[in-house]
Amino acid sequence: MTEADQLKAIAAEFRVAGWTMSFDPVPGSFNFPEDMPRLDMVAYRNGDPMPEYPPPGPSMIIVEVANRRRRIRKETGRADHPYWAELDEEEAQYRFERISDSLQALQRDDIDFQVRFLDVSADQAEARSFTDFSPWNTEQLLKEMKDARARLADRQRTADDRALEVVVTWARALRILGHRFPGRRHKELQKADLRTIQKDLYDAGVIDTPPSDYFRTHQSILALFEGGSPEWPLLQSLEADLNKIIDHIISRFLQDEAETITETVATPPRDEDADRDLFEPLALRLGQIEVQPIRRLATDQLALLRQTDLTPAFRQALIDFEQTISSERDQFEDLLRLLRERSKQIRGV
Amino acid sequence: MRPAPTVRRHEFMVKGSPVSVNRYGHSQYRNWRSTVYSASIPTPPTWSGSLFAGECSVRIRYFRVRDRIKDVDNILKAILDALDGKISGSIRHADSVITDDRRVELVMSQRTNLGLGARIDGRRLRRQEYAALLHARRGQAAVYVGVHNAPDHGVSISR
Repeated sequence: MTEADQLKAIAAEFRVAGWTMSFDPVPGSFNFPEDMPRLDMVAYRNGDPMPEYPPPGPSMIIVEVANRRRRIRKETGRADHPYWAELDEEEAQYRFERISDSLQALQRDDIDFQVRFLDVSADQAEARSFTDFSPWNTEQLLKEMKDARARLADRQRTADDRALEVVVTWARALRILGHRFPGRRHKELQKADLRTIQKDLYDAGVIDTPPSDYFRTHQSILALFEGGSPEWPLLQSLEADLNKIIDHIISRFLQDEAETITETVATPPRDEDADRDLFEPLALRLGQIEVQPIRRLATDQLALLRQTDLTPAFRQALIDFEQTISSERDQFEDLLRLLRERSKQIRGV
Repeated sequence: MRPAPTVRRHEFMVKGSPVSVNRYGHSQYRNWRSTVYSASIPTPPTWSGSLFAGECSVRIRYFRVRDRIKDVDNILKAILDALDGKISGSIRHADSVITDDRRVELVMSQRTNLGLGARIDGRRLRRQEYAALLHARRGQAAVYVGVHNAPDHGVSISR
């Protein structure tokens, strides 16, 4: 679970017990002293954080998440700190003492102070961010993909070395796609595990291995990085899907380069009557979508489909379009089938 | 000789994983005891001789994350020996926290596993305890040791 999910889980525990939760209350809230540090969470009962006649038991609980990442530069005032990170021990200790001293100054026995922790999965989620590479830098991305392709093409290596290269490149490529093309509304894929991204790519038609078949390969990847016993043939088998992913990244984001890198595919002559049959009924049916944002986005993507017709980019434009109308797929299945066939013709499959 | 000041409490934190009494005689046990001793005496020392001349209580809290679990009773001996200033056998340091571990009338030993489900009462947490907790988060384990005056035998500890 990411840090944000774990914080929500902690807050949910309190809510279920009848507490009202306040996240990151600004200094000065709840009549706390102004010099009290910004708190992580405050739980209070009955909508009255500081009752004049407190009931039995605590009327408020201050929750401190000891290993949470904070706006450290702001918290400590040190410009040499990263902007967002976990406080070191000394800084965390100082923060705890300030909170304790402020609570003592309040002289209220009905305020509890609870220390909580995030578990290791928050660290794992954090390991999925990029600190050495911006996945939005197209030039850097192209170079990384070209280098990966060259390394994979090197047949001088032993099978195990190649498998290792495949696995490292696979994890990296999936993580890039998880950032660059989240595929879901709330960008959950950025911190998702590799299995989740793999499933998303399979659903989008980018790769051919179903998630149920990928499961054992994923276990081997984990075993590899945790010092266990990976199954090397499974890791080697990732190469086919990896090549598809590299093609996908290049064609999706780097169209001009794609025309020089990928093989030239013989394109069928354009049949204008066929186009009319293909895009116009689609446009008419899009007008029946009731949800305006989806209708608008799908209409824009249909225009892109027309523009990219007979080019390698058509395939990705079609994938984007299918994702946009996924909630209305039943209405469009017959026309989508025609578009997919067209895509196959363009790719020469 | 500088007399020990009148104190009611002496606390410190030890970084690292406690060593079980089952390792007695091994270098690992001696090293841990030495580590506890070094942590128990401030630098520079603020007293000479024993800090607690008479009866006392000891509270130990072992925080762990992914450390191999040690029994709460098995970690006591090395810590009490260190508080006593023991080096080996009957050889002792000149300065120590307690005079003799036979003067310890109450020992409380607690192990706390830190994870998503752990809930620690911050109002009862001593500063050095929190320091041990923070270190355990990064270093897998740490121990808080608090030495206090002897318990009041007029009050039952079961209440």
